[in-house]
Amino acid sequence: MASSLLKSVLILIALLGTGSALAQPRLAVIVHPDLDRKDVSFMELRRIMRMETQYWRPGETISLILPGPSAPERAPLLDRVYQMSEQAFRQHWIAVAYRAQTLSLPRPYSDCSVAVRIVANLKHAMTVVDAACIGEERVRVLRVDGKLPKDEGYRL
Amino acid sequence: MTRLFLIVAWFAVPHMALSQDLTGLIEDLEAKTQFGLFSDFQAEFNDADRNAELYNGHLVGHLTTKLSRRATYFAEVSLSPDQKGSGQASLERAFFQFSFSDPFRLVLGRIHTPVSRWNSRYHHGQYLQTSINRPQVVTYGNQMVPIHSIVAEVSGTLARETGALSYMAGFGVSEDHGHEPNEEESAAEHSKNPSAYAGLTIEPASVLGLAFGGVAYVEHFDHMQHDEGTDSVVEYESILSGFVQVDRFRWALMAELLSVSHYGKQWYAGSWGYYVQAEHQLWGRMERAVVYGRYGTVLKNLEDPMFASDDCERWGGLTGGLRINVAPRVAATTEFRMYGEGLSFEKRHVYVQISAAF
Repeated sequence: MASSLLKSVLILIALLGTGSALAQPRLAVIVHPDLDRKDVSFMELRRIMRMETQYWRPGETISLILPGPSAPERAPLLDRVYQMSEQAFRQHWIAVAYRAQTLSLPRPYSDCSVAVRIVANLKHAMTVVDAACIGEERVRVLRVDGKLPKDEGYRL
Repeated sequence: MTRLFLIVAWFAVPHMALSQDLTGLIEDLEAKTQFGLFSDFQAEFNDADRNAELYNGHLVGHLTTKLSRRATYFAEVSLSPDQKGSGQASLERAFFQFSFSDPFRLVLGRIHTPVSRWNSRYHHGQYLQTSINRPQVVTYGNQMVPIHSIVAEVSGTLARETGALSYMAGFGVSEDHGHEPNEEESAAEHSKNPSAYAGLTIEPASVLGLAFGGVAYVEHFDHMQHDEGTDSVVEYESILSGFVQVDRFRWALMAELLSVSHYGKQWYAGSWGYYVQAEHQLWGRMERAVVYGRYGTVLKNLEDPMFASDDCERWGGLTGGLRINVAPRVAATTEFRMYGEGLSFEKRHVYVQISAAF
């Protein structure tokens, strides 16, 4: 009796786990279609996201747009790219400003469709959104370590 | 004003929904000025004289203004209470920065001398450093490290698939050499001495969060430093430092070693110090809590005229603490510190602090 109850609980936990995994958005890294980039390595992406890399090339500053606190992309982005807690993430940006590390801090979005529209209109902008959010906008999805969001083994 | 509000709001109000107006957001990408403030309040208890003291810590403000597509101006001002209880204002940093690309950046102005990783990363940003106290080897007033410099510095980062290599090199004059000025010190100790430094940091891609590197620093004393009663003279100082840092999801490790030598008629080596600090963010309901511990030691060559007035040759200290991030930009920390000559640890202090960033 006890073991069957335990089995049921484990199955339920497994199902809930699968459900929450499915609910996590698959993130896409998007840039303006005229930008001369098609892929990015995970390490380079991480450096851009932390604003340790700030230029596409000399003179071309990356305008970074990030999911704000209410955006559903925020938690998976912190988990998969920054590998930071929410607290550490906030502290990171305070430190970036204090160390005068950047010319301008990233801007937040709460609705991914707005972020997609900005990237479609701003040549050096880059953001990470739910892949399902891209729609008809003219943006380029960057490959990460050679893979697109639909590919097996994609890291985001 | 609206732009400024948007900038502050993103950091200050965590769940605030920002404007979804596309035009506004694009304009906001061109935001010109950022402001920040740090403040702290501290209580200290020690078992030697059963004494308790309260400190209203620093109030530190900094701003970055974008002057053009490539140029920014940064200034940091610190207000701190002095021994007499009145306030003391100081210009901590003020520099122009010209950014041309990731591999090349030029800084002109007054900076925190980057001879120590801790000195350049945290300095007066009390909220940013997990512990309440700085490691002894980089404590203000220990004469081991210069605190400020007025420099021309070039720096940059070369990133490849295998990792990133950052460099910096600068020359200028050193100020506030490891101690706060007081009336009894000689003019020589306050002089602005020519100095130069160069450093490298390596971040291999194969180990996420790992960084290590070092800095070499040399300073020439315009006014030679004499040890009274002897003919010892010091003309040059050199500092070599190295660090290793690992920053992972819930834990961080930081270790730093500094070696200080002086040259004149003789070579005075053998003064050095290091610290190792580990910290870990807890899980689940305790996620806001970070526990940390640090061991540090400082060894000074008392034959060195620069350290001859010190009465302690070797110093060791253990620090442990708990930091709780009580709100998005507020932390409450309690710290226990035991230290003393050699490994005696005869002095014991408990600190409680509230620190905040605005």
